[in-house]
Amino acid sequence: MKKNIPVITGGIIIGILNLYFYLALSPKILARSTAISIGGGLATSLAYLEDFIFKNNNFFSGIPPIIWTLIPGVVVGSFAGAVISKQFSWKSFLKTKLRTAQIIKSCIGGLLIGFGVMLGNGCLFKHALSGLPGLSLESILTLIGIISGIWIAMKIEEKFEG
Amino acid sequence: MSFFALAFLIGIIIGFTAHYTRFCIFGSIAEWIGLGETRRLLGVIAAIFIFSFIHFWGFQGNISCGGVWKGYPGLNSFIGGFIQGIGYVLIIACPFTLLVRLGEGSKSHIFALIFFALGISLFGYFREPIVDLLSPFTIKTQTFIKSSIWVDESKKFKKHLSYFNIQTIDGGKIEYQEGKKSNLLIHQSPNGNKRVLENPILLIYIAPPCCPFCYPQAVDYIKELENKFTKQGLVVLGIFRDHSIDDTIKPFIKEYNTDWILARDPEYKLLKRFDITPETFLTVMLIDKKGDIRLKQEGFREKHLLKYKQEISLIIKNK
Repeated sequence: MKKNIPVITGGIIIGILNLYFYLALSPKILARSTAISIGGGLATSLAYLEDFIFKNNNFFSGIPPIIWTLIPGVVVGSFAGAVISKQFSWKSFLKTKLRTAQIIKSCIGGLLIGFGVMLGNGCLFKHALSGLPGLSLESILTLIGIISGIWIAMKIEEKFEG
Repeated sequence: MSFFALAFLIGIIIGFTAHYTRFCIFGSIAEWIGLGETRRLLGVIAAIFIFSFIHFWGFQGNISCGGVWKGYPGLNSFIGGFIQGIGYVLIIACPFTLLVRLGEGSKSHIFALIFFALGISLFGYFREPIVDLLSPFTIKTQTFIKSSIWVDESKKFKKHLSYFNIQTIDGGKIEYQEGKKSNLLIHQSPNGNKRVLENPILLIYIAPPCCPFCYPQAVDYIKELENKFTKQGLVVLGIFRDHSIDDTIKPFIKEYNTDWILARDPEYKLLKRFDITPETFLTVMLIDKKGDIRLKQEGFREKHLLKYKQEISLIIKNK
C-alpha cells in the first residue's frame, strides 16, 4: 500500500470516530458521553502500575475504562500499518542504537508530559479534538499553554542546536 | 460485539489512519510554528470541524468525570498545558503520537512511555499540595468538589433520617424506619426473605455520575471500614444513579468484589433528599444509630478515612 493518503482524510476519519465514540459508544457503558482521551486514558491505565512504583500513591484522573481498550488498539493499528507498509522489521528494530542525549530527552519529555497531562486534565488529543470544538474554556486555556510550551521549547532548542 | 472490543477496533483504525496519513496534532502545530507550514494542520482542522457537530446534540463540557479539575478551567490548565508542550518538543510527540510511534517500533518512545508513567505518579505524589496551591486560581463552578469533611448545616438539608426505601439492583428492597425503641434497616430479597438490622450504622456510598471504576481507592477505603466495623453494626449501602446494571454495576461488583447492598436511583428520588444532583461527584455519608447524618462529603480520600474511623468509633461508644 502506498503512503499517499492526504492528511485531511486522516482528520476526517478520526473526527468521525471521535464523534461516534462520544455519541454512541461511551453512553452505552457509562450512561454519559465521553470523548476519546489518549493522555488521560494512558495515565489511568498506567496508574494500575502505581503500586509497583510508589506505594499508597493514589490519584484520580477520571478516565473511563472504555479508553483502556482503545489505547492498545492505537498501538496495534500503527504497528499493523508499519508492517504492511514495510516500515517496520524486527531486524532494524533490534539494530537501532539510541544516542544518550536522545534517551535523556525522551526521559525528561515523558516525565513532563505525564505530569502536565494530570495537571491540565488531559492531553492535546482531548483538548484539541474534543474540548476546542466543544468550546470548553478549560481546553482553550490548556491549548494556549500547550502552544506556548511548544513555541518556547522550540525556540530554546533552535538556540542550542544553532 | 462487546463495546470494549468495539473501542479496541476504533483504536486500531485510528492508529492505522495516523500511520498512513501522518495525522499528528503536535507535528502540525510544530510545523506551523517552526516553518509556517499549514498543510498538516488541515487534517486537525477537519477533525475539529467534524467533532463540532456535537453541538446539534449537546456537548456536556466536562468530558472527564470527577477529579479536582473537573470543569475547573484556571491556572492549572495553562501550566499543565505549558509543561506538556515542552515535553512534546523533547520527545517529538504528544501522547497520541507516542502510541503511534511505539507501534511503528520507535525505541526512544519506550523510554518516554516509562517516564510518562513516572510523571503521572509524581503528580499523584504531590497532588494535594498542588491542588491547595492552585485552587485559588481556578474558576469554581456549582459542582465544586469539597475536599474536606463537612456536615451540611443548611436548613434545606435533612440531617435526620426517619424513613426511606429504595429498590436494590437484584429487584429486592431496602427500607429504613425510625421506631420508638430502635431504628430498623430491613433488607428484603426478591424472593421475599427479610433481614432486619437493628440500629445500624449506615455508610452510604453514592457512585460518581459517570465512572464508578475510576476511584478504586475510595472503594478500598470503604472496604477497610467495612472489615473493621461490620461486627459492630456497620452496613454499607451503595447507590448508583442511571448506570446500566449489566454494563456498569455488575462489572463494578466483579471488579471490586463487594458484597454491599447495592441500589439504583436513576430518578434521584432518594438522592435528592441527600442533596445529590446529577452533577454531584462521588459522595459518602455516615448515618448513626439514631438516624442522624454525621458526615457527608464529596470524594473519599485518606484523611476522610481517618475521620470516618474516629466518628464510627464514637458512634459505637454511643457518643
